[in-house]
Amino acid sequence: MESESDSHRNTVDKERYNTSIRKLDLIFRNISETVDKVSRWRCPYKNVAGRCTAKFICRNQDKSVQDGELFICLGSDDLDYRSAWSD
Amino acid sequence: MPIVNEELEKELEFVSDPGEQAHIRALWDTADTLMQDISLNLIRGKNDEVDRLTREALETGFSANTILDDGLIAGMAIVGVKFRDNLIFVPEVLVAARAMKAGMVHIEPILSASGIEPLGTVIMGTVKGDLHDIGKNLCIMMLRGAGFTVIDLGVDTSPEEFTDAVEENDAPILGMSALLTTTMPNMGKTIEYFEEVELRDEVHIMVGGAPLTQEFADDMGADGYGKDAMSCVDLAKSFVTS
Repeated sequence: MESESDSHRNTVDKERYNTSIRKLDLIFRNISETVDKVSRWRCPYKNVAGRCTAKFICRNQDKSVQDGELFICLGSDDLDYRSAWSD
Repeated sequence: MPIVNEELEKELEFVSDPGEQAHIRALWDTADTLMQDISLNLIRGKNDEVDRLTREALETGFSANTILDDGLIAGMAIVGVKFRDNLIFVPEVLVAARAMKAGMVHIEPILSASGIEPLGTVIMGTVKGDLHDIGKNLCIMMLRGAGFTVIDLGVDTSPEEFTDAVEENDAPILGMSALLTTTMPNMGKTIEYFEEVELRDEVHIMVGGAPLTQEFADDMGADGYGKDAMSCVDLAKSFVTS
């Protein structure tokens, strides 16, 4: 396993760090743009397995799941999902 | 070093554009297997593993720069591509961001010791009566990525919890989110409470959420309105540089 010299272990190269932060900012900005697009056709709380990650009640939640499992999302991505949300 | 982690190799197969795949592959060309492990676990959202591996990497002698670039950011680059291509969705992105935070916890003290301080502290929360948190969580992910320290108060946050957090953390920025028209007025009530306890002049208040508008934000006396997570970061940056 490679490792770096002791002189570099506990310090940060500020210029390299600033480049890293710019790179990360760009990744997140692209993610944010994708959120805007995807949220127009798919509920953002619905995960890749079609389960609901929301902490609130939604009419589209199928609660017939095992204890500890996330509810199944029954929402149609063709419809405006927001009308199903409640407090 | 070429990619030796088979699972990571599989993740790269999701990147359909050959040029993009070559670009991401190049990120690991000189990276150690440990960095590849960090990336893979970040992509899979395994925050305990990212926490453990980041500690191990620092103890082994890898620099914070290397872990950030070759482990954490390289992994997040794949997350961004998978999300763009609809292979994963917002919940998976947020889980990956949580894993990234688990690694950053170990990097931050080294940044601080090197004279790199956070841009500022931001208190974030969804207002009283509202349990919607995705917009807030995306803002938090982006604010942390931009170099802010973020204290997340979660959902259903009372005005008192907001003022207490601002005071305790001496935070110059507060972000409030609401997703329901019925809970939007609680933003105004929170701002009024800041005035009541004479903290309003101590903090920049930004608000956001799908039903909000710039006009509504102005009417309730907020200092800024963020229509999305990107503008939330831009607003926060403008507050710390003003």
